[in-house]
Amino acid sequence: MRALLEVNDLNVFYGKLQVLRGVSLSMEENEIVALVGSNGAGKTTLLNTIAGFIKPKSGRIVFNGTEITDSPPHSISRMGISLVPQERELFPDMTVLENIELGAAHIPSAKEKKQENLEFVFELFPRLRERVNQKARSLSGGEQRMLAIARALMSNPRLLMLDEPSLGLQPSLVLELFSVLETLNDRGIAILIVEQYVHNCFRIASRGYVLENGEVTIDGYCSDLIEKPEIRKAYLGV
Amino acid sequence: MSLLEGVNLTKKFGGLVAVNKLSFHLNEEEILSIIGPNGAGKTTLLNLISGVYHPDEGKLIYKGQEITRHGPDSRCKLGIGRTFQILSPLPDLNVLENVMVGCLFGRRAKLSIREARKEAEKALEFVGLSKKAEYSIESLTTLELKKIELARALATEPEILLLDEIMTGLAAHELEEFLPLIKKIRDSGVSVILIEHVMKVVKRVSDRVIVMDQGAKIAEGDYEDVARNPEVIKAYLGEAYESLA
Repeated sequence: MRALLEVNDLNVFYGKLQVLRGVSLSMEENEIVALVGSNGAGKTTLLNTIAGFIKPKSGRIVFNGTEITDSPPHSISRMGISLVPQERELFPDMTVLENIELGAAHIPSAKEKKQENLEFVFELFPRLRERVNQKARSLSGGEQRMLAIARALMSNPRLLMLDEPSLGLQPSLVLELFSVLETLNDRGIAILIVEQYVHNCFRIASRGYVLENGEVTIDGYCSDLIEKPEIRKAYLGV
Repeated sequence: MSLLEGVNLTKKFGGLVAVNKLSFHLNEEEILSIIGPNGAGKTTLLNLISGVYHPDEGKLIYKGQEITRHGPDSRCKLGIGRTFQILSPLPDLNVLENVMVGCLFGRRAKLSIREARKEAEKALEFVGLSKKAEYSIESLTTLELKKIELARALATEPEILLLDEIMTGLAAHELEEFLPLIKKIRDSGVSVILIEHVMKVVKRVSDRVIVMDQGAKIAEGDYEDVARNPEVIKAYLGEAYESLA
């Protein structure tokens, strides 16, 4: 079976500082993969590099059989990779609906399915439907997170990348979020997720990678990772 | 006597009542956590306490003195220090200089630069970052930036320290490093008001917990009490919150 995403020996620098060191990672079609690590380990940099915002010094990224290492972010998103950034990056003075619709702009395949996808995200997040005409800035932190995910889904992604989506969410919404991710996965979307709720993340993911100081130090099936003492101590808090 | 008391505080933004007739008190050497749904008014309450906003109704009493109309700078000088949800170090100053800012504009009487440097070094030592004193801000990790944010607030020499989601986004082993700092601050005689969504943090550090929903206080007590409260489970925790281990 061909991998959906293949990241091979990626080296990324910020000036002289090396942030990713020989990182390799692969994902199958429709898989959920967890990325865990300390703050500053390079998790966000890895997601941003896959999305095309950062160009690696060396290494290759292949998505669905096509090399995207040097592709600009807009073509990568057209090919089916969508990122939900940690800081949400909404347009605060545009309405909820305008923010959502922007997710489908300039993507031909997404425009065709716009109405269908719109129905789907409203079904997923009924609260957004209630607030379609409100400005994004007037939403609470949790609602803004939902809006960022909804916008990402409008591009019709085959791979959804989420950078700490639970950050600042109340406990009941964290649980809701994980069940939303499972629903998305049931619909055939592969998910690459960075999370500090590692327990819950390992429960929905099939495999996980641990990133330390820019290097992948451990990877494997979540069921195995969860038994490893070094992971239990550092990331599960037991 | 309480160190700080809020009486019937109300703050409105247009038609939205962000804080609604809320009363609370803070004891000496206490860690008080404020939890509640996104949009419940927690940060607004913190902004009322630190003086960013003034309430439309109600009053704040700090050590027997009414401070309802004091601005944030004068509250800081009286001994109410805070950290911010969005970390905002001064990027052109190094680590030590960032902390010195706290010394120079805090509760202490006018310090010379030399004295401020000394006090800042103490604060850095407290958070365990003495080695990074001369580092640039951009070279720090998120965990270190959070510690600098904490050190800068401590450098104002507060009697009350307000922490707005300072531990959000930390990995489990990073929390193990950070949590003892919060207790150490309390044990040094400073009262702490903490906003946090990560329940394992709230559970482990809080002496007392207040739960807010839609601007009002819906529960108060120790962690175990409020976590069992059906109203709190409905509005905030969710039925299965214990699975967020």
